[in-house]
Amino acid sequence: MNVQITHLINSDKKIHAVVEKCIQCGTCSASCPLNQYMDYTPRQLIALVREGMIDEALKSRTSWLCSTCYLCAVRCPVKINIGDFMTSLKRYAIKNGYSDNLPYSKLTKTYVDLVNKYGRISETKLIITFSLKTNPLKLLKMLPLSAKLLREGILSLSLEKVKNIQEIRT
Amino acid sequence: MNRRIGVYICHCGLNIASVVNVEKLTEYVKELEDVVIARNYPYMCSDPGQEIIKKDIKEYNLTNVVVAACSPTMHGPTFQKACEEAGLNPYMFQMVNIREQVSWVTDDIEKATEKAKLLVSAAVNRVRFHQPLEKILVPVKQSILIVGGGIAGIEAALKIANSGKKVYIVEKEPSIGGRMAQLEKTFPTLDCAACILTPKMVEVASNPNITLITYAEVKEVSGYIGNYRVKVIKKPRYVDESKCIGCGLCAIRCPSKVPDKFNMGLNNRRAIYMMFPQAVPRKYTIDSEHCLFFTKGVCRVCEKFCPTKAVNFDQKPEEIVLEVGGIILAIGYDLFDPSVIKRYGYGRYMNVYTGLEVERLVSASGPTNGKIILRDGRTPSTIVIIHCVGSRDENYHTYCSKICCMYAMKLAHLIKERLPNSTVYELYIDIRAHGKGYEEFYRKVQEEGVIFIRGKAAEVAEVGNGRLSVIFEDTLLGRVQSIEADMVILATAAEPRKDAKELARLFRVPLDKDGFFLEKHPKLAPVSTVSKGVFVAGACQGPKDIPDSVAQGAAAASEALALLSSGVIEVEPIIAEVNKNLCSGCRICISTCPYGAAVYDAESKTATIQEVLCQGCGTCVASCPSGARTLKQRGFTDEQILGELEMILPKPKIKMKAVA
Repeated sequence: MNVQITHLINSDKKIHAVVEKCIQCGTCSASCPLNQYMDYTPRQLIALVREGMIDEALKSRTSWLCSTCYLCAVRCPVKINIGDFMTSLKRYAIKNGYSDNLPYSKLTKTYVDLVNKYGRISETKLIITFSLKTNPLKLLKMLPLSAKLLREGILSLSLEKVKNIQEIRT
Repeated sequence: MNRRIGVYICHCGLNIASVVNVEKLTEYVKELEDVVIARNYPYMCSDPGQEIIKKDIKEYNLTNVVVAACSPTMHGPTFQKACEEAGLNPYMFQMVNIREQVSWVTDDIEKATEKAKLLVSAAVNRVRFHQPLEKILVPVKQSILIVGGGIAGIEAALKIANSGKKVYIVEKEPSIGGRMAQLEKTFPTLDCAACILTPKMVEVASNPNITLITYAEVKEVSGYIGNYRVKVIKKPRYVDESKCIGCGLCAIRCPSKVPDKFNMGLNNRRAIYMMFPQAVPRKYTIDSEHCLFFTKGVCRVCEKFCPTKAVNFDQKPEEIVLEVGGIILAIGYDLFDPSVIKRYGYGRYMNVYTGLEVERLVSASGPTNGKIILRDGRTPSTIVIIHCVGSRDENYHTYCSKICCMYAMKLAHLIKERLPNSTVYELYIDIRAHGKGYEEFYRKVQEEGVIFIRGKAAEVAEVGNGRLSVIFEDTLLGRVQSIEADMVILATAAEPRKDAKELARLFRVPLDKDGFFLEKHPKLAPVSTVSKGVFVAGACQGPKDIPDSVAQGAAAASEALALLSSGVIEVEPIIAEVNKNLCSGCRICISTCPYGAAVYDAESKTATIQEVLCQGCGTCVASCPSGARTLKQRGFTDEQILGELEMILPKPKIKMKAVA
């Protein structure tokens, strides 16, 4: 186990507040629309962090699947903002190299890079860049579907760009 | 006047002595003006500690005593009594709090000792202006008012009445019995609730010392401990209680049907009704909101069929004034309305029930005579009980309602008993089976085949044909699952009565953060309140099961009896006083007094303070335009307060001249 990260997370006040408050009722897990794809339920993720199994928590794909819909936070009986907890975990994972080989983090990174570069998002560009990074063969598989979508005008090949993007960059 | 002051500093074990340098403090105090003797001792409140004070008062001929120890609400009376026993007027004493206000709030020995020095010297400078005061004795009215006729109120009433004192019970509903009357069985012994409650209700009705005022509400409270005056409004029943024999002929003929509140609206009753078959008093009541005569001006069928001519549509609200020595509040609790938790679908899906609704459903005297039939007419085969609905949830009530785990398990048992082939699930976060025999009951229910799953239900959804799907995480398996059920029961939280706030204002009893009545001390004075002579019992003080409510009812009764049998009570003489020579008779104090204690004396054309009514709040003193020498607060005179301030405020000081 990485002692340094364990220490970092334990001294993170935001994460600390979450793991201290949780009563492990499971409302968040059962409310999560993506729970079936997770390896650990959100409740279990909190338990892992609480018990110091940080390594395992950061390797989990749960936080990467979180779409921050905040249904869990709305229902949580002890008012934990689980969405923010997931975001914090993701940040730790990125900073400490846990996410380098995970497809979810690559997707997130591609998305953010696109937004940074163009100020807008283009599905076509996103999927192509992402697939090239992970599994280029998948692109071939998607061709028939994308042809259909193109014909219906749902998918666009043009790349929109925000004018004077440097003005809105922080 | 030559003052001889003794100062006593308590170590309170290490509570004070570990932070305040008591030796240094004692040395400092010895040098103060008029201080004859200063001592410190490990436990001033102990018998030997008090002996030291008593011995010194005699030996050194002390005129005043200052004790620096804990809060005066804790041991102020202890030391006052010690002074009195040694022949010193108890009001020549002053207490300084160097525990809560000094040693418990800092670790800094230096600063703590400095603050203690300031506080003690202020008290020494104050106490020299103290005047001997005499306690005021007031006789106690030999009767008790009990608000609420549930099990706690009934128990308290019987205890007091059986000791020969007079009791008035004011009940809002047409019958006493409260929540317990709605229950089928009681956990964990599974006694039939009606079988153990009804004899007590009948005893209340037949006891000559008990006056039962049902269908009535308290409107006004005045007076003080020992002498309360309570105005009660008795709502019109439109049935003459002295004539009604409870035959029920009226209800059979009544054409107006109304959802039965007692049965949680699961069936209809008539507009003229008796709450339940064992109601006490056994009298009918007309619900004027739904009676055809009151809503449309026609009908009067009940009047025609009543064999004793008891129906009287001309009845008016009746005002009753009660004079009592003490009051017990036992107004009980309400149940949380789960329809605000939208995801559980209560009120939307017809087969989602609350615990109390199912209680009526399984009750032999309930709407289905004890048969478990759903609102759509089916008999359920899969039942899910959801715990902690509205409790242990910061969005609704943070507290644990204490009774839900047990009543949920009792319902599971009753359902299993009636429908042996059904499957019952309990979705819980933690099972709280804390009482005597409760854990055994939990085990018993588990062995009966009820399936306990640890996890809070996230959602209830309808899947068609009235069937419901409950989604939850089995937290012990770490798996999100769903159960398809015919019936979902919500174990709803207990919450304060809707009118608790209003009653709290009337009786001057504070509420806790959750809205329940606040007891004086959670451990050592659980049924007393800061309002003297007003006691609380049962679930209005916090969620409580029947054994606890009965115990509190009895405890409140013993507090009330102690008050009555003392015969007289001592009223603190710390009250306002008028100097008739200076009073101009402007009557401003009369308009500001919240207790009606200040009155105008037409003969002397001055204000007069009625001693027993004055609570010593000081409002009149502050409002008097001709100053505090005219209207003076005993125990808080200008000299005393300024004397105290003189030592606390930083120098350069204003030289105060004693006027006393």
